[in-house]
Amino acid sequence: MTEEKKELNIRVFSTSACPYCVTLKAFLDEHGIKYEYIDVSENQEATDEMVKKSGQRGVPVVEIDGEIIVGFDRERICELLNIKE
Amino acid sequence: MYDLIIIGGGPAAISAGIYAARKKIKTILITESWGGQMALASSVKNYPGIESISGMDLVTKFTNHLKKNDIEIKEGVKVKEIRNNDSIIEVKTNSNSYESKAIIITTGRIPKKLGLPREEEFIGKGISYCAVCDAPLYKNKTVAVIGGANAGLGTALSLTAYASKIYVLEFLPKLNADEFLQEKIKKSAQITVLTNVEIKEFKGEQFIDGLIYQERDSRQSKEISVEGIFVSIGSTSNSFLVKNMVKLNKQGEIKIDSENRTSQPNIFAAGDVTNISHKQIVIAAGEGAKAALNVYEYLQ
Repeated sequence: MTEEKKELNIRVFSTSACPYCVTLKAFLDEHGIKYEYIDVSENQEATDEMVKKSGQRGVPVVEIDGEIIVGFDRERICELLNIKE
Repeated sequence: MYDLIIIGGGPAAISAGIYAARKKIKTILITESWGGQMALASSVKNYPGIESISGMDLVTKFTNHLKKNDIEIKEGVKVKEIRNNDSIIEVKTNSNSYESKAIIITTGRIPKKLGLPREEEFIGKGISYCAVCDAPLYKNKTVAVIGGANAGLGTALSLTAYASKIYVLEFLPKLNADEFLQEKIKKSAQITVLTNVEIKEFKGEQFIDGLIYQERDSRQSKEISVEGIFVSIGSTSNSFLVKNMVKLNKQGEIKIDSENRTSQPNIFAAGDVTNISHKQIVIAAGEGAKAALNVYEYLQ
C-alpha cells in the first residue's frame, strides 16, 4: 500500500464525466494521495494550460511536480508517488 | 490462486463482483476504467428504482456499492493477455500475472473507428470517441460529428453547450435517427447537417484543423475547418482478448448460453460483449449477476 512521501505537488486535470478520470480519482483517493482537482470544463485558463503542457486535448492529465502524464498511466503514477503494490 | 477473475468495469462486471463477493467466491476484478457504456450516457431514465440520473453518477453508485463488499479490485489496469492452461486461467497485465479457476469476461463494447490514415495519430489531438468526456474541451470551437444515427445526433446536441459550430456528416442520403432528435437538430442554429458524404482525410499538423469529405453524388471533394472531430458511428464488441479461445458470432460478440457459458467450460461472459439481444444497463447488470451465480455452481 501507500508509503508516505514528500509533499508532492499533484494536479489532476479532468472533466466531470470521463471514465478514466473517475477511475484515476478513485485510485488516488484510495491511496490517500492529496491532489488539486481541476475541472477543465469550468475553467478555460486551465484547459489552455493543460493543452499547452500536455501537447494534446484529452483528459485526464496528471501533473506531478512538473511532470506531465497523459491518461491514467497507473504504473508511472505509482512510480512517481512511490506507491508499492 | 483465485476462484474467479472478472475482467471489466461496467454494470455486468460490477454486478458479477457483488454477487461473487456475497457468495464468498475468492475474486479479483481487473478493469481499465469504471462504467463502460453506462459512463457515457448523459442521462439514464430506465434503471428501475432510479427515475433519472447521469450515467457517471450511476457508475459512482455502482462502484461504491461494489467496494462495500469483500472483493479485491485492480482499477486502471489493462489486461494484456488471457490464457487457459489445463483448466487454469492465467491473466497477464503489464506488471503482474493472476491465476484462477474461472473467469467472467465483461469487457463491453468499444467505439468503431473510421479506419482512415492518421486517425490514431490525432486521437486526443482533435479526434474523440467520447463526447461526454471531451465536449467541454471544445468551447467556442468549430467541430464535426461523424455519424447521423441516434448516437451521432445525441453527440451533436450535447456539443451545442460548448462548441460554436457543429457539422454533422452522414454517409447515407438521410439521417437515420429518431424523429425527435432530428427535430431538435433542425431547430439548432449551431448545427449544419451534411448527408450523403464520405470522409476522406484528416488535416492538421500537431492538432486537427480540418477534414476533407466527398459528396457521393457529385464526387466533389470539399474541405471544412474544424478543431474537433467526434466519431460516432457505433460500437463493436470488445472481445479481442478471448477471440482465439471462445466462439464468437459474426459480429464478433462472445457466444453464450442461457447460463453465461462460452465454448470453454471455465470461461463465462456477460453484458454487452456477448450476443445477448439488447444492450441495456439493467440487462448487463442482470447478466453479470447470473454469470457469477453460474460460476459459483461451476466451482462446486
